[in-house]
Amino acid sequence: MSGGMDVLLEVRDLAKTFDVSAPWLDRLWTRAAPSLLRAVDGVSFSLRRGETLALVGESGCGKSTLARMIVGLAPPTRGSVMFDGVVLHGEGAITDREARRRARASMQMIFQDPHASLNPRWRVVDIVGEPIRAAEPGLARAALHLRVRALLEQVGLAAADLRKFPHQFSGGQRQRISIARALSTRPAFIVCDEPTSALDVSVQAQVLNLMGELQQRLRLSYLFISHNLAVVHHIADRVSVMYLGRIVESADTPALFAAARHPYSQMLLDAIPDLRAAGMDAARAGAGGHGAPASNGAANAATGVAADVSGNVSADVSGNVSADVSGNAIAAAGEVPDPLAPPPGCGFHPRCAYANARCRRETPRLTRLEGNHDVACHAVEEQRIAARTNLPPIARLASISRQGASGIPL
Amino acid sequence: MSATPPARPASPALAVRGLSVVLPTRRGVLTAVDDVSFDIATGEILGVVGESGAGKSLTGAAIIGLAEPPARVQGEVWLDGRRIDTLDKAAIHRVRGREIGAIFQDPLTALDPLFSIGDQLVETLRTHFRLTPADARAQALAWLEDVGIAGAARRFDQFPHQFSGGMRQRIVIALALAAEPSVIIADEPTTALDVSIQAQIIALLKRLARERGVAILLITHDMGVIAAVADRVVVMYAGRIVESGAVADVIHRPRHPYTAGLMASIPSIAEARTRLAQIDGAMPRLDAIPVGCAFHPRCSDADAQCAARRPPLVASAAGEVACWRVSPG
Repeated sequence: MSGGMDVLLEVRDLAKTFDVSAPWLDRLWTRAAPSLLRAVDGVSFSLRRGETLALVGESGCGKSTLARMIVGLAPPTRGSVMFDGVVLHGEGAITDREARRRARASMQMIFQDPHASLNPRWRVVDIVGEPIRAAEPGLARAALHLRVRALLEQVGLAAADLRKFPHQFSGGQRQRISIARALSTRPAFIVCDEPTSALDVSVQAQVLNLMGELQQRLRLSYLFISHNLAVVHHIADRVSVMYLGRIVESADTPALFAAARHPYSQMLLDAIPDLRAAGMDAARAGAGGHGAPASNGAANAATGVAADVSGNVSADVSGNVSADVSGNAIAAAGEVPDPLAPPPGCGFHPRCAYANARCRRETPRLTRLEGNHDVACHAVEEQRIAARTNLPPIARLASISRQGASGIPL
Repeated sequence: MSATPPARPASPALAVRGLSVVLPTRRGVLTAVDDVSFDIATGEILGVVGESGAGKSLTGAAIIGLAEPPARVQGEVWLDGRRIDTLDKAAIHRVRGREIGAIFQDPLTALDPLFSIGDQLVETLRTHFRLTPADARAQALAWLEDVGIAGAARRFDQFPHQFSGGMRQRIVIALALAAEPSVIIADEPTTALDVSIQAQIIALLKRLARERGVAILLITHDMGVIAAVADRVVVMYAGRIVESGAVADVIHRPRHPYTAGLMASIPSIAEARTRLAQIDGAMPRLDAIPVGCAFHPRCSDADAQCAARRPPLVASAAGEVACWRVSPG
C-alpha cells in the first residue's frame, strides 16, 4: 500500500452497485434486463491523521453512499477499505471480531439532521453514553455519567443537560449532542455527512468552529461531505469533487479553489453566489433606503448594464466556452443525468462545452497533473482546456470594471 | 395606521404597512410577525432574509391571505395602490394567483401529481383568461419555453414525477407567471435545489424582474442568493425588521449588530480564515422573546437601554436600522 505511516484511511477502487430491477418473475415476463444503479463506481483516496478531506457534489453523486461504505453501514460491491493498518473490506480483510470491533469504534459519523438522528425518547445521557456502554459493557453507571459529563462540556454544553431530552435543545445544540456521541468512543476518524446544512448560518459558524477546535485538540481526521463549497473552503485541507459516482477532480483546497481544472468543478465554483458580488448587479443609483427605490427607468438601465457585465465575465473567464449572457461565468447548464442510464464515456460530456468524440466514447481516468492535483478529463489531458486561474470573485469584478462597465461602484 | 395609500413618488407594486401576525395559544398570545412595513417597486426584487423562526415565511403568507386561523393578521397590504387585506375570501382568492403569484420551496408539493404539467398550465390560463383550448395550449407551451424547459412540446404531456427538481421548480415558476401577476412571492425557491440548478433559477428570477417588470418578494435564509439577485434587502429577527437597505449597503456595510454578526459568520471562498466569527446562542423562541431589543442577550454591544426598551426602526439615507447603539444617518 502506498502512503506513509501517517495514512489513517486508505480506500481503493471502492464501488457500490444497487440492483433496482423489477422482481425477477416480472422481468422474465417482460424480458427486461436487470437494471443496476452504480452509485459509487471505483473511488480511491487516502486520508492522513488530522486531515480533513471534503467530498463535494450534487444530489445523487454517490458521496453519502461512499461514506456509508467506509464506516460499514453498507457493504461495498467491490474494492477495499483499510483503516489504521486493518483491512476492513476486500482482499485480506481481517476476520478477528475483536480487532474489527476496535477499528469500528474508532470510526464515527455525524449526520445531517439532528432532529432525526437523536432518539426523542432517550435522555442525553443515554444517547451520548450508548456507544460507551456498547464498547465497555461492564462500566458502572456513575463512571458512565462522569464520562458523558466530560463529553458534554467538551462540545460546549452544560453538564446539567445530561437529564434532558432532545426536544429541549435547539438545532445547533442537538448537533453538539451528535458530536458528543461521536466522540464518546475516542475515535480517530469521523464522517461528517452534511453536518451543518440543516442549521442556520450563525449556528453553523458555532458548529464549524467547534469541529475545528476538536480536530486540533484530538487530532481527528474528518471526511466532510457537503454541497456547500464555501463551508468546504473553510474547513477542508483537500477536496474531491464527485460526479455520477466517480471522483472527477481531487486537489488541495487552495489549489482547487484557485485553479480548478475539471469543467464540472469550474461550473460548481462559478455557481456559488458570492456575497462580494452583491452590489455589482444591484448597484442602482439612488436606491437608498426603504423610502426610495429607484424609479423604474433607472432600475432597468442599471440591470441592463449588469447584464452586459455578466456577458463580459463569461467571455473573459471561460475562454472559448460559449458565453451565457444570463448569468454565471461558465453557465450552469443542464442537469445531472439519470444514474440508471448514465451517458457513455465521460459522465459529464452532455453538459460540457469541451466534449469531443473521445469524451463521448471513453471514460477518463483520474490522472495526476502536478503536486496533489488529480483530474479525470480528456480535455485537460489533451490540453484542450488551458489552465485557468480562478480569480477570487472580487478581483474578477474589479477586472470587469476596468473594462469599462462604468457606473458600477465596487 | 391610516387608511390612505402611502404617499410615494412612484406607486409601489406592493406596499406592506404595520403587518403583524399573532398566534393565540394556551400560554398566551405570541407575536410571530411584529409591525413589518416595506415597499416593492415594479421590476424590483426585495429580499427578506433571516434565520429559522424570524417570521419571514409567515410575512409572505400573510400578504397573500394564507395565514390560516388561529393566526390573526393586522396591518395593511396595498397592491398597485389598492388595499387587499380587507378583501373577503372570494375576492382575495381572485387576487391570489391572478395578481400575486407564489413560488414555494418544494416544487413537488406545489404540483398535482395526477395531472400532466401541460394540463395544469392550461387550467391555470383558462381560469384567469378567456381562451380557447388551442390558444391556451399555445400559450402554455410559450411559458414552458420561456422558463427554459427544453423540448417543451415533447414534455407537455408528462407528469411532475418525470421531471427533475430544477425542472419542476421551473414549471412552478411558469404556473405562477401564467396569470401575468404584477407581484411574485418566492419563499425559499432554491433551497431544495443543487447549486448549479440554483444558479439557473436565480438567473431566471432576475430575468423576469428585468424583462417583465414583475416585483418579487424573495424570502430566503441564504445571504448568497440575496447577494446574487436582490436589489434591496430586509433583515428580520424574532419577527421584526432590524435592518433594511440596498443590498450592497447591507452586505458590505451592515449596521445592525445582528446583520454584522450574520455576515461575519458566513464562510467565504474569497478568503481563508481559521475561525469563523460566531454569534453565541440562538434566535429566541416566540414565547420567550426578551424585553427591550430582542437581540440584546446575544449582542456584544448591548447596554442597559437595550435590555429595557425596544429600539424603533429608524430610517435614514442609508436605509433603516433598529438599534439603540447605531447613530442615525
